[in-house]
Amino acid sequence: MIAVRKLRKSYGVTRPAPALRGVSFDLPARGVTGLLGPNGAGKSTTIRILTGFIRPDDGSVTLAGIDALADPQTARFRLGYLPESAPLYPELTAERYLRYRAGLFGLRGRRARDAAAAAADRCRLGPLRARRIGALSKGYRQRVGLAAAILHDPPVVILDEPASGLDPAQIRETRSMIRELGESRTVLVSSHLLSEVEAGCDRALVLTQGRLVADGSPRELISEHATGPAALLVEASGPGEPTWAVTLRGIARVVSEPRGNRRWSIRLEPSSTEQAAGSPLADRAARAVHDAGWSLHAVTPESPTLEEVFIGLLRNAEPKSERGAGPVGGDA
Amino acid sequence: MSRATPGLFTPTLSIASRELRALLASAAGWLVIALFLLLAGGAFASQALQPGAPASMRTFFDFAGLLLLWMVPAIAMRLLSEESRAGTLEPLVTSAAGDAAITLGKYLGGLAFLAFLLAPTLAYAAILGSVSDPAPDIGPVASGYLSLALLGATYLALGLLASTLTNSQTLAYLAALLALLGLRFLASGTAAVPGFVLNTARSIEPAERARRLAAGIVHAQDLAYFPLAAGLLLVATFAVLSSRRWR
Repeated sequence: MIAVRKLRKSYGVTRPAPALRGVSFDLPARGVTGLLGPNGAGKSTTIRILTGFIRPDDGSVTLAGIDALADPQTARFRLGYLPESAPLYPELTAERYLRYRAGLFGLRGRRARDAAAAAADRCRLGPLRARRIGALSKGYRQRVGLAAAILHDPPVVILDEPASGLDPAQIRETRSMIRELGESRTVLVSSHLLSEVEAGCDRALVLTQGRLVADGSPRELISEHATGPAALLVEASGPGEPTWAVTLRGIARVVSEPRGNRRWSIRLEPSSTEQAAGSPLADRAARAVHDAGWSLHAVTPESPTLEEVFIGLLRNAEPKSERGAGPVGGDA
Repeated sequence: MSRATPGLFTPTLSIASRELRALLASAAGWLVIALFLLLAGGAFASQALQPGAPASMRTFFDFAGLLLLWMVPAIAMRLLSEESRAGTLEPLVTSAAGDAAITLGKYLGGLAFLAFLLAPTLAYAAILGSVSDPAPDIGPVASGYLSLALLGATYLALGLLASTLTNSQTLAYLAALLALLGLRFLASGTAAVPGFVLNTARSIEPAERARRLAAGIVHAQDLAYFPLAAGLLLVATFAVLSSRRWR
């Protein structure tokens, strides 16, 4: 549904600074995909090119079968877009704003009213649709922006930081609405909240320095790019406190918690991924428990989160590109 | 969605209607209306309503034309620069409306506000008609209003272009105002400028043409000038708006 090929974009004339260096990816007709990357990675540039706000220097974009660069207006007709921080007109009521947006997509009269009402219902605006946007909370303004993005029933929806600045309850609500949208259309979500992508996206694209460095489901990214467990959880019991764990401090961060009945839970976070990759940390922990005369009940590796994988990818991105390692979906 | 594009009419109307609402919802909009009516009304009362004065609105039209030079850039300054500043330009230009509908919609919204500004002054003509004997000729009054409408529409097109160039309303206002004042100064002949500059300035300066029209001197050239000038300025606005995507 979205096909991006070798997208390149630089800013500046005298000394062009590359923002995208040949990014390619395909998104299917259904599902929610997260676009991840640190500031300056090229996320906003990618989104702005997809939405037709700016043009790339090179490459191609196809949205719902339409060449978005050759026929941008038709492509935009098939696209719903919510920019970051949902810029709206505060003097309008939510309902009036949605009808205004319906007009931009050629709907008027009863069709505009029906489309606005359906989008407002879908985004659970309730009676607040009659209130001025300027008087709505950030969460409701976000819902109005989301309703505006989908009121013309586009097959492709792009959301830039839709959860930014929302409280946990609002984030959960937004996630559920995005999930619903993804059941029937292509949804691309740019986000800084890695936990959100992990919880709400079927797939994640990781951009850094204008290149796509990873592409897969959050689970795939973790299994493919994690270099070992994020931590080891040691369950042991013995007299006093687990002072023996001090001997592990050179290779791991140690956090001990009493569990009652002389039992302790000791969390060991390896100070480098290499130490976590193999068994030395587990072996040393087991030996330390044994040498102290304690009983070892369990050693459980904790899976890394997407955030830890993401940080690892960013850390590795520069040396990889310098060594000429081919980025996923990139040709630079 | 069965259609491929939304066409031009509905998006243009939607943008124009929102623009008019925004202007009428802003304090600046009402300040412009109040100032205009106060000053123009004052000029009308002090000159056209004097005992023994001819039943003419000529002085009012001249003064109102001068007021428009200062006030229309204030109406136009927010049309696109405010969208840029507030971040609402992005959802607007990434909608299916297209740059032509955005340009026309903004312009029509501004024109509707201009009509809102000028419409109450029709009461002045009615007052003059009721207190004068003989009543003023309808022809000069009609051509006077036509001159104000055409002059305001041209100023508005220039103001819209200035508003497209910057996201600062103040800069947009100053750019439009200085362009109009500069043109007026050059066309006045008081500056020591080469002949071709003077001739060019006189041929593109709208105020003198409007003054002729207000005096009842109707030239086809003058009538054609206003839509042509506004049209060219709107094409320039469209081009600037579209070129933004290439930056």
